[in-house]
Amino acid sequence: MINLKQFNWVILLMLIVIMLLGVVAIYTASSTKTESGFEMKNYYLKQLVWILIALVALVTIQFIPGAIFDLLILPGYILANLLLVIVLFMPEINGSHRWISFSWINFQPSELAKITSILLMSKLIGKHQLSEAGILLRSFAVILPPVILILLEPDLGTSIIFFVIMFAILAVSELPLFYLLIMASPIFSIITSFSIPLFIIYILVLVFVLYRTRLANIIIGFVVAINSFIALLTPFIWRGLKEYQQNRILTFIDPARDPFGAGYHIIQSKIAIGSGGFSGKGWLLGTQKNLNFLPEHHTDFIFSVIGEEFGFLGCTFILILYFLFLIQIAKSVSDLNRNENRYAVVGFLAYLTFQLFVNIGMNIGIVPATGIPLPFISYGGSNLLINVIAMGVILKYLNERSVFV
Amino acid sequence: MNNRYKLFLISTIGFILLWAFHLFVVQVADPHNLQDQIALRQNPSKKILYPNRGHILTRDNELLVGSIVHYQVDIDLNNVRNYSKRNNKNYDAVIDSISVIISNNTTIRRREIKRRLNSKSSSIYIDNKIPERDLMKLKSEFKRLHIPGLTSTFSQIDRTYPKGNLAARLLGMTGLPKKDINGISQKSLSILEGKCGLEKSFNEELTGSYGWKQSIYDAKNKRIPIVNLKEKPAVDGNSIILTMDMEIQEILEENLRSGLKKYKAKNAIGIIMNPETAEIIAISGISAEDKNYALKSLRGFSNMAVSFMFEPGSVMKPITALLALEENVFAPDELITTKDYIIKYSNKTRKIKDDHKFKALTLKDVIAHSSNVGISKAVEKIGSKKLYERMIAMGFGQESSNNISNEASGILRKLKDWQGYSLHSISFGQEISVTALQLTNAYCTMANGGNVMRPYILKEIRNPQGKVVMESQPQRLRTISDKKSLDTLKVFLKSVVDYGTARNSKLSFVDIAGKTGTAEKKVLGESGYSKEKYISVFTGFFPVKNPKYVMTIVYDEADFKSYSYYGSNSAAPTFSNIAKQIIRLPESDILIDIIEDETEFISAPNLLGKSKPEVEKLLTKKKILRKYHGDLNGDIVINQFPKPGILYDKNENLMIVLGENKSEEKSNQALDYQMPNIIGKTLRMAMVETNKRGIKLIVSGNGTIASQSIAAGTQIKFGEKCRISAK
Repeated sequence: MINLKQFNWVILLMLIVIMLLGVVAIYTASSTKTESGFEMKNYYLKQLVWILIALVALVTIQFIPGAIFDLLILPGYILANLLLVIVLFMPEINGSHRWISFSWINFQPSELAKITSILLMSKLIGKHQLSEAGILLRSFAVILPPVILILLEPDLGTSIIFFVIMFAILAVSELPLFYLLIMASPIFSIITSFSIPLFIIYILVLVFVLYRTRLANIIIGFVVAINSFIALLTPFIWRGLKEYQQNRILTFIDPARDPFGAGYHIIQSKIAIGSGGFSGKGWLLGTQKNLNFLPEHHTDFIFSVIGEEFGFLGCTFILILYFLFLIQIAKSVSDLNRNENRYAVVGFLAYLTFQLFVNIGMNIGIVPATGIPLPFISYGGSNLLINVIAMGVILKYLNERSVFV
Repeated sequence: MNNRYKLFLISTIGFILLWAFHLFVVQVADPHNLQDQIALRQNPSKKILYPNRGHILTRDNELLVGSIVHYQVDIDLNNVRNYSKRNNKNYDAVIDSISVIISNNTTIRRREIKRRLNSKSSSIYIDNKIPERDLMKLKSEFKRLHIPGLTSTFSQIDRTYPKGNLAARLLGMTGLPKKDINGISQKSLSILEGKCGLEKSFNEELTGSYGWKQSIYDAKNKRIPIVNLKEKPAVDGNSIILTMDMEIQEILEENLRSGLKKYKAKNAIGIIMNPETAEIIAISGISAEDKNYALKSLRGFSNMAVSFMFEPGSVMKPITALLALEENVFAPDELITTKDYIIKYSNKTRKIKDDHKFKALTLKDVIAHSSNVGISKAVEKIGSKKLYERMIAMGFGQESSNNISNEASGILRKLKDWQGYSLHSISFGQEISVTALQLTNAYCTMANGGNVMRPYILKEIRNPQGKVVMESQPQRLRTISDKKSLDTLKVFLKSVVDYGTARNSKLSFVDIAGKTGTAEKKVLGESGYSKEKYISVFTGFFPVKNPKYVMTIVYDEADFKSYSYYGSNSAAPTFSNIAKQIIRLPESDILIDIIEDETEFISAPNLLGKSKPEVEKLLTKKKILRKYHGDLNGDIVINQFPKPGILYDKNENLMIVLGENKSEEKSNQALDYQMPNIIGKTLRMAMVETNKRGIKLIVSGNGTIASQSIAAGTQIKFGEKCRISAK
């Protein structure tokens, strides 16, 4: 039951402030300057309704008894995976099957899958005295089904999030860090595979680090073999990627490569943010959205609207606000005594942090465009709801921490 | 745990700092000049608005030259592909319906469109000569079927000539101006420039001025409506209203054309002017070689009525006669011997001869019978200085008008360059070159009481809204002579037609005054004059008492063998024929002496728009003589001469111009089927008025109309009868 004295009001307050700032940003993003003043779309009203719904959900979660909540995790996970199967049969939107459309809401099952996967994985590896292999096996067993289904949609960006979450949870688990290093090494192999000298240097560094962790030579040899194999395979995988995925990666490397195609979003967003200058153009006076240069300016590229209208000051304010918010959560992690709760909070934290940095990064042009919204600020009902539910679970765990001491 | 919390803290701070640093670079340091980039994008682009070229109309508001805007139409196939994909439509079926729409509304064949559309490129060029009207149809069809992909851009303005080749050489032509851009001459596709003729002289007025429109386009290439965008509308060119009378111009051209054929001449020139104002009412110059050229190139030829210079011959004699009258050189009944006259100058002699066999003539008859000897004797008494000054005063040797391009000045040598025979030669129109315009204008002076006017063809300039912005006023340059001498001269000139050289061309119902001229042509490269090549001229005016029209008819190298080269045999008959037709025009207000001659007048039936078989049937039934002109394979009557309802001699041919069916270009000469007011008019005038409306008159009495049974202004049916009484 809810313990008002223990309840972390600071986090909730900051969450509400961030969401309201989001409404302000959506308001300006959905206005268009016309001959007779401003033409408004009602996105900001919808967002306000969604915020209310999400807050109700947040409060509801607080009142669900911990034991019952625990029991709901596995059915939720199964439901999410079922929905991920169903979504594959939904009509294609922009080349992928991501959305389940009802008349009143478009819902991405992958959002639900993220939450339930985090909770289930935390629950499974939170048990004490698990072997290292046990932790790894359980983690992959939870992560792989949704990841595979999401890759079938296809949605590369979201599937990467799952690995990020898994990494974050494993990083705070009892698993030795070198496992993470070994697991992360293929990513660097892929990156360095485009240049053979670079790859050789990377392999040498990897061998050195692993040697220092006193791993058996056979394991080191195995890691090197796997990495070499991946590096050789990368060109083939590259060809296996969808053209738009290739384009996104390529345009990330060189946005000017195709200024009206795949690089368009990045260039337009960057111009918008850059034109904001130090203090911005002012409320409602941005041009990107007025001139329609930025599609999705109220969803994924909302940060560019903020950047244009409120400038460097506004951007850094948002960044600092998010930073304090995330630090608040991170600080509270050590207060949690149950492993599974701690893992789950870390998972959510990693999930939110990753979304934040990737979204802002793509808005300012240092990360490829992946279709990841800015948490709590971007317009979009289902994403907001899932993010707030995640916050609700964090608040719930923080609130319940003393009950099971 | 604490370590890992720190790790998170540090990495988060690291990311925040990295992101913030990047933001700082992008937003504050701005190395890529993004702020300028957005300024560029926000800068409204200027779209050029093209002015429409002004029209040229006659004084009776008939359109001679108009403008038509053409657009280029393309099909954006990418758009079509997306559309068919999005709406699950068969791409080929969509292409099919596009080609049907286009072929239905343009002249391009369906198969050709389909061939072009079966391409892999994104934008398909259809045509760049789609007139606005067709474009509108295309647009509405595409909209109706919800097919996207039609794009249109301004292509060019073209000129249309609803009256065909009427006054082609006067109007001139337009072309694309060549612009010198960076040393490379390029054709600008967007506007037209007058290249010659009136198009050139009034180019500035007709062109109008460019406008522009600021617009901001969004990323989807849609125009963004933002207030305070500036716009300067294009100003269409002004319209030029000529002093020309459409019907008289048609009469002139038809007669010149038939005269050219009849007299086997090389060129035929005619000008009709109003002597009071020196307005040019009709002007034309045609050549026998015209038929070898396309109409388009004909427009580029010079307007012979002002550019063709010729030695006028005897038509110059009245100038000397006028001086003789002013100076009272001869008594009215004094006889001048007109035997061969030998003049001596230094060591040379020259014999001046006459064609006629009169031994002595009064000054009047010297003009009437065109005696070279008589006029030479007269000019001797006047002297070269006075003759020269009079010639200059009457406008010879100078350009006379200021707004007709290509005008020649004629050749009148300076007095100090006159040689031994010059005085005599000039008195009968040799050693001097004139243009038809100069000659006509000189006769205007004789007809209007001595006022030398500046000829003009520009009546007024109207702005695109139809408001008159400039109106030409008759411009009197100077006055010469005196009333008594001029009146006497008129009598002299009348005698030319009454019983003199042009007596064959006398009209029974109107007095004509004028002078024939038959001048040997100087042949290039030979000394002296040709014996077979002549200029045949007649210049005159009518009615003599109160001259309304001054006209010059010139035939260049009319047939020698059939004696057509005599001005009295070719130019004079053409003159009187035209005069006859002008007088019979419904609008003509020349009071004619009602002396019934044997000619039986019939009213021309309305054949406009009828097919050839229909016309044949009708005319055979009515026993009307006819002759076909124009495109003989044409299937429809586009013009006729005389016009419907006009009275003409039954023994003359009704000229029928055939052409292709162009319904929209048909002149809107729809008659108002209303009873005209005929009270106070002469019987003849009343018949003219009512005939063209198909009203039958039942006349009682004689003289001017006193009453009419159908009130003026009432709607009437064809063939309705109206009782009138005349007093």
